[in-house]
Amino acid sequence: MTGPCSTLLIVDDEEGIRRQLEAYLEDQDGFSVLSTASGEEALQRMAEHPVDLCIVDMRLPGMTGEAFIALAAARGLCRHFLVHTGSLDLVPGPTLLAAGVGPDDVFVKPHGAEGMLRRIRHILGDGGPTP
Amino acid sequence: MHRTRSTAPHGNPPQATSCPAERPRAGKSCVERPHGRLLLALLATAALLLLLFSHTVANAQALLTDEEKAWLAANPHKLKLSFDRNFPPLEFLGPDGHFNGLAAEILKLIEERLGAEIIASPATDWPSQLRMLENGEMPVVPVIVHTEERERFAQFTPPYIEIPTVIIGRRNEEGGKVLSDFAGRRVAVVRGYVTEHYVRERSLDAGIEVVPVSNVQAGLRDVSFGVVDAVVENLAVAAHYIDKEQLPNLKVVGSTELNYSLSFAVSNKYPLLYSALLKAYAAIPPEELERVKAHWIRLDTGGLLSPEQRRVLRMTAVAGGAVVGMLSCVAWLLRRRLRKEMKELEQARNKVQEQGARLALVLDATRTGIWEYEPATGATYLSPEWHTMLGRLPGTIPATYAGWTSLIHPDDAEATTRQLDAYVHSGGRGVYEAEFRLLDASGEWRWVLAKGRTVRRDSLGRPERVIGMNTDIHTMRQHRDAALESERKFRTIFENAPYAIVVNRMSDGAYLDVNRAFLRSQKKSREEMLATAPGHYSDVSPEQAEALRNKIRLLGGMHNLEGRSIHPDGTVRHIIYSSVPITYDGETAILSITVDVTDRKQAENALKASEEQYRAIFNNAPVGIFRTSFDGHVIDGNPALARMLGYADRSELLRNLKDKAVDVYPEPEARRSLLDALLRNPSGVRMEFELQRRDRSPFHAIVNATLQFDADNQPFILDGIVEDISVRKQAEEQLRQSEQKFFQLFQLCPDAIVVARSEDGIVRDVNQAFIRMFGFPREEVLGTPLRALGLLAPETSLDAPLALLRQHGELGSHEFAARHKDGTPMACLLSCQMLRIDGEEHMMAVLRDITQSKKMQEVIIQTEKMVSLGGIAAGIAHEINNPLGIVLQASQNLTQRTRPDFPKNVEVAKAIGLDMELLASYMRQRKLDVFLADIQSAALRASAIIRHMLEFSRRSESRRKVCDLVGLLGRALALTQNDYDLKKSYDFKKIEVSLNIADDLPVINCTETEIEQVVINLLRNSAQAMASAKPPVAAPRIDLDLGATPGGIRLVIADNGPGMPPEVQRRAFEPFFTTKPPGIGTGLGLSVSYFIVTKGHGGRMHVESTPGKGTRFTIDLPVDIPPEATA
Repeated sequence: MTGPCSTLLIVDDEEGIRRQLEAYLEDQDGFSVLSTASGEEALQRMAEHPVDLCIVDMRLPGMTGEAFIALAAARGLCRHFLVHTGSLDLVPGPTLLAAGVGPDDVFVKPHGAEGMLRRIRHILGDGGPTP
Repeated sequence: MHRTRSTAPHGNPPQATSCPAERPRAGKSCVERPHGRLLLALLATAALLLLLFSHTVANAQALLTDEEKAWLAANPHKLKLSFDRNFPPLEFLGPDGHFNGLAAEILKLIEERLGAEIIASPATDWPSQLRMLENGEMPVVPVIVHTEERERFAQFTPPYIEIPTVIIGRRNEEGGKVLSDFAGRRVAVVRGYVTEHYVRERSLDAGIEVVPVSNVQAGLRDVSFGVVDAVVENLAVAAHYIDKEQLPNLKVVGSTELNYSLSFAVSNKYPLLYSALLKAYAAIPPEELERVKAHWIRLDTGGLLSPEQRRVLRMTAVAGGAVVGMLSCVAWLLRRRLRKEMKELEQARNKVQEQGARLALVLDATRTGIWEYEPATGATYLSPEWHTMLGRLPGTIPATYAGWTSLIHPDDAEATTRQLDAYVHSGGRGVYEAEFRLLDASGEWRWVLAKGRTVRRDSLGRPERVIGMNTDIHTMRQHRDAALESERKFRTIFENAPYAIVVNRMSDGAYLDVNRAFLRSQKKSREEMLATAPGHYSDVSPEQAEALRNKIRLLGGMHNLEGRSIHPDGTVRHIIYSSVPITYDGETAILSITVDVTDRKQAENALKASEEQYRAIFNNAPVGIFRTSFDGHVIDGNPALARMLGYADRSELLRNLKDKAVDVYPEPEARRSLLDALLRNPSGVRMEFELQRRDRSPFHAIVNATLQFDADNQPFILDGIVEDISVRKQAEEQLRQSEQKFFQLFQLCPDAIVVARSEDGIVRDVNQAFIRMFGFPREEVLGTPLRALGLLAPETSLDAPLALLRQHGELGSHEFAARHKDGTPMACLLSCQMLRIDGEEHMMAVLRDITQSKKMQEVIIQTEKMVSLGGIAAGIAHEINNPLGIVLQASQNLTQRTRPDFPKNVEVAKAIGLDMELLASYMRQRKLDVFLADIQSAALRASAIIRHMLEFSRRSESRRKVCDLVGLLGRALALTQNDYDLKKSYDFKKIEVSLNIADDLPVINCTETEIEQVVINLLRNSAQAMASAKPPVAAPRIDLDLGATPGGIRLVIADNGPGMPPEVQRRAFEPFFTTKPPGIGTGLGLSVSYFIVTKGHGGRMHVESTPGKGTRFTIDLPVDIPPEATA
């Protein structure tokens, strides 16, 4: 696999989630995967290293996932966000839609990660149609 | 005499007879010597005076003024008068039909001087004469007394004569009487004459009974026949009639102070006529007046007048002064000689007359007549008194024996004549005496006593002349008979009267006589009684008794006095007595009639008390009391009746209803029916009516009435009471309605109701619900003890709750296990109440079948559990999903990192010298790959469970919209057929699915995803059931039918699968109930579906299933979802 490497940032307070998802995505070609446990930490990290896409849990200690997405988008720290939540009934509201998060960008835990991988590739434009 | 004279022509009355007996006294006072010369001189004077007369006549006309003359000339028709046709000798209607009498002659003199003629016509009576004078119709009245009252309407000439008014009585009456001497006697007066007024004025004080008569004749006749005791009238008229009527037994017995001053009167309306007439009257020479008066006024009335009276009468006539005196002297001288010659004869005659008068006096006093009888010749003489006695005129009876006997009563005739004959034949010795009846002039029989004596005998000594008297003993006989009869009657009454009658002496009260009733009451003999001291039987003192006797005497009797007497047994009795003074055996005494009213008094008191009691009841009774006549007039009614009928009080009721016969009955037939019933049963009937009040508002009443009959046995009076039962009636109606309501309630109540007697549990009544609920026919239940019905499930007892019921009288909501007649168990809720029906304790039990609602309750409890569980689930799902995410991702990463074909794995393995192919082979051989797949699968299943739980619990945010049912069904089918899970456990493609959709489906609103979920659920259940069926279903099929219902749609999903046993079917919608193996179903599918349909869409969902045949779900959805339906 050649070509530029995309940086993904996983924001989730659950360490297991961060580790498993990081492991899975690192195994794929072309991704550099970072992770933080909170929105605040993510914002700090992104200020040092810009990222291409954030995978954000909604229920976070401190600022919520939604607040983080809104802030990060507003600051232009990241252009793409996927929502990764345990809630079944999440429908993107105005804030998320404004940050570019649509219904296809929501993934409910637990799920087979293939769908998310396909979505990431689609967003980042390096292959695969969106389901 | 008078009669003859009165017929003489006017102006030429014979003069000779008026003088002879008239003037002896006047003569004496004048001249004593007689003689021719003097006589001549006097004649000469008379001639002069005659000249003077004619001159006076001529002068009278000259005296009249021109005015008077003119009036007389102009008013000849006014010159008239009316006269009394019956007042002789002053005025009367002569036999020739002309005005006659003293006044007529004076009128002549006036006419001569007036030069005019006054037409006289007779008046019907005196009052009309007065009236015509007053109104001027008859301007002149010639004979009238000048009174103040009459001055109102007339003017009077000076009186031309004054005549005293005298009292005329029978001859036996003593003379010199005045009116007051007639106290207690009857005195006649002519109605309307001044005498009537005069006598009446004095009658009250004097105690005279005034008897008005129609005219003077009648009055005189009444005196003569003893009808009255006297008549008061002017002497002239009285004397005239006494003479004319042949009433020799009358005489003047007294005088009065009343004089008739008679004048001419002229109506006030004609002053000129009066002044002219007055002048003409004044011009009449006094001697002319005297002449006229002497002609008409007779003074020799045969003893009628006493000399004194004659003198008075004469004096009144002397009014003329010198000329009159002279003329009197002339007349006197002329008659003197004749007088003297006649004197002796006169004296002799007077003597005889005196003797005759005395005899007449005696005869008259005894009402006795004298008779003479000569047996030899039969000649009979009957004296005038004899005639008067019988009211007959002398000479009207033939003076014969036969004439006398013709008047004897036929019953007495034979005995009377025989007696007289016997007296004569026996030689006329002693006195003849007989009593018999004679016929009087009026045709009545009068008892007469005859006594006679022989006064002359013939040579043979036989009676030749018998003289006797007949005495009228009629009144005496009558009195005697009456007295005897009266005495007999009195004695009969006295002795036989049922009341005690006593006669006490007035002076000392001693008993003179007592009757049998009195003796009976006192239980004594007459002798004992008469010996008893006065006052013995009363409780009054002797002084009081004497005072009482005096009072009785003074008042002439006292009547109906109340008193007390002492009974022989000592008790005091109430008496009522009347006492009158009587003469008893010549003594003044008191007759008293006494009635013992003790019993009556007691009865009266009792009656009074009873009456008061009745009145109190009458006034205060709460019911109306009435008394009406049979024809319906209200006679009486009490205050309650008045109020009931809408009147303020009793008097208003009586005022208003008195004349309204049947006003309280709106229907006359109603009253008729009451009367008919009363006629059948007069002693009392009781009937109910609709009556009406005063304002015509109706009310119901019960009338109790009785009927009384009158003396003729005719229905007469209704008495009764009226009870206003409108309120009661209303209450009854309300009760009836209430009963009907209760009955309907009882019958229609969805709960079973049973009424059973407490004592033995016998069922008295059950309602429809009971029959339905327990399956017993009604007949089987009634009369059967409750226990025998077997309503309780085995091992169930109601003893404890029933004990509570007996203790508290009621029991609320006790749940127990009941049993249908066919043995089906039921859950029942029991409420009981004790009631008294017909005096017996009863238990009313209400039973509610709560089997179904109990099941529902269980469902609801479970649902509630689920709802709350769902709420919790929603909260924890997120937390569970994270670890599940880790598990899944970790197992995925393990699988990925052990793959031999993954470059990164190969690269790392190479670096450490691991053969990836060998690792893979190892993992397969040790089944590590399967373990990883199990982990993955378990994580996914857990995730699915959580997702379902959340779906079940979350509130749908999706909006209802118009539903594409057809598309929805297609999608559901496609989803089911491609369902991953289904594919794994059974093949849906083996099932034949038919989709049958009706045309014209109504458009309904729904939440498509939810209904889709329901359909998927059902299809999946069907498929699973058929896949798992043992033995397998030969040709599995599912039929979907979508059709329209009124107001909605119906979806039926039916399979021919194994079906459900009843207990499964019953629990089909129960959350967590599943027949699937663990891991296959959550147990929530059907219950979620049920709630989506019913709660979320206001529809209905039910299942029918027959084991071995298939299952059929029916879903009804309404077009309009009720607002309360939420999901």
